[in-house]
Amino acid sequence: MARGTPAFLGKPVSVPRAPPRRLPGAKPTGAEWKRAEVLAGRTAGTAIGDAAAADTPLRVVVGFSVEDQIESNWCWAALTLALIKKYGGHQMRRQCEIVKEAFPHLSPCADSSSANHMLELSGSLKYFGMRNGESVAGQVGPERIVEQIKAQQPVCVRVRSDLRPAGHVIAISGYQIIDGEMYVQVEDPAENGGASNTRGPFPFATLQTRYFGEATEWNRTYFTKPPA
Amino acid sequence: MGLTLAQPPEGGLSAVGRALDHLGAPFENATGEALRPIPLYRIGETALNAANPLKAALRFGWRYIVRDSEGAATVDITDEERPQLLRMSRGDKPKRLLSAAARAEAASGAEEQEVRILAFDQLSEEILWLTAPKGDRFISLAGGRSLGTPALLRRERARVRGRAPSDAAPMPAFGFEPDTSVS
Repeated sequence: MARGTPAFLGKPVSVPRAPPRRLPGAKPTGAEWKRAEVLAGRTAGTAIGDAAAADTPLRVVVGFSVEDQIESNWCWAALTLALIKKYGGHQMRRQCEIVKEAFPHLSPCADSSSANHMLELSGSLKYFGMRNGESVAGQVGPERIVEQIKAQQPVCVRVRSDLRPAGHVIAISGYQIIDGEMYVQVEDPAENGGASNTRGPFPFATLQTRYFGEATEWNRTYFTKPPA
Repeated sequence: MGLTLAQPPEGGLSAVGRALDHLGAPFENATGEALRPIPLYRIGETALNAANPLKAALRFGWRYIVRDSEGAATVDITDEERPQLLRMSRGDKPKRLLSAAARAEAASGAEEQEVRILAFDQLSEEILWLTAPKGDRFISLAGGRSLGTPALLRRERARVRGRAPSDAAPMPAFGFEPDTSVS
């Protein structure tokens, strides 16, 4: 890094570090981390109930990953497609095919920008038989997340902020408990730029209040299931 | 004078250390040193059409570049008295940032320019922002392209217009709850 480093960034200074700390269980390592971007946040954390508070390694929904959303308004389509690929039961393999189901009179596969429309995720999940009950206004507690991840069912979450008023949907795909605090792994279709769309694990409290960095509202939760 | 940086919060470097200590599994080789941080700014979509949107930019964090086995990683912290970790990245993004910073320095003259990083929202590409009395310049972190303020604002306004739900948006086939639509 030092070679060719711009002078205005100064000389490298030492980062104060604590002695190495051994986390319980397996560390998430390997290819999944190679290009992963990690959203973290040493916030207050969120304690989880005593029954589930034993430290755990990262537990994830196997076979679930979200690709970049093709169009700026297609977060719902990217998540729907990822769930279809996870759960099976449908033939769609492209986001435009999901959009085509929603807007049959448009041609999103021929011209995606002409069909760059927002849509409520709940309707899409219901249409494809993957909605697990009504969506919940607001947040759910960490125990519900643990229960769903153990059942290998991603939990989708809608977040918004003043700088991102339209809202955006992401999916919780894993969790880890460290020192009684809940951490989550998230799949974000907008997390593009050539990196993995996997974020985390980061504190559950970050997802609750500041996912976008600034004050962020988690205002709806969608449970999912395999289609019947 | 060349390129300058604003003064970071006092506890910034410690926050970076805590971040690496606590969630360092993917960053376990990012142990050594950090460069001076670059402040992070964001402009909301609604401010884009104001007379001078850049004045509405909100500083929300700081980005530290730290050494790791792949060359560089970045650690973002909040802009607070007691900074907290926002995000850690490795791979292409830190490399692109260093590359854009080098390009900015090579093109800088005698005029003092403060270096910042600007984004308009989660979907927009981050850009290196060089503020100067005689006119701001922007350098893309994706391709290194240099832009002036008018060109940048034109681009962002067009992008946001493209995101806006059209009045003519058709009724979707499987339910429509307009107040809860997401992008």
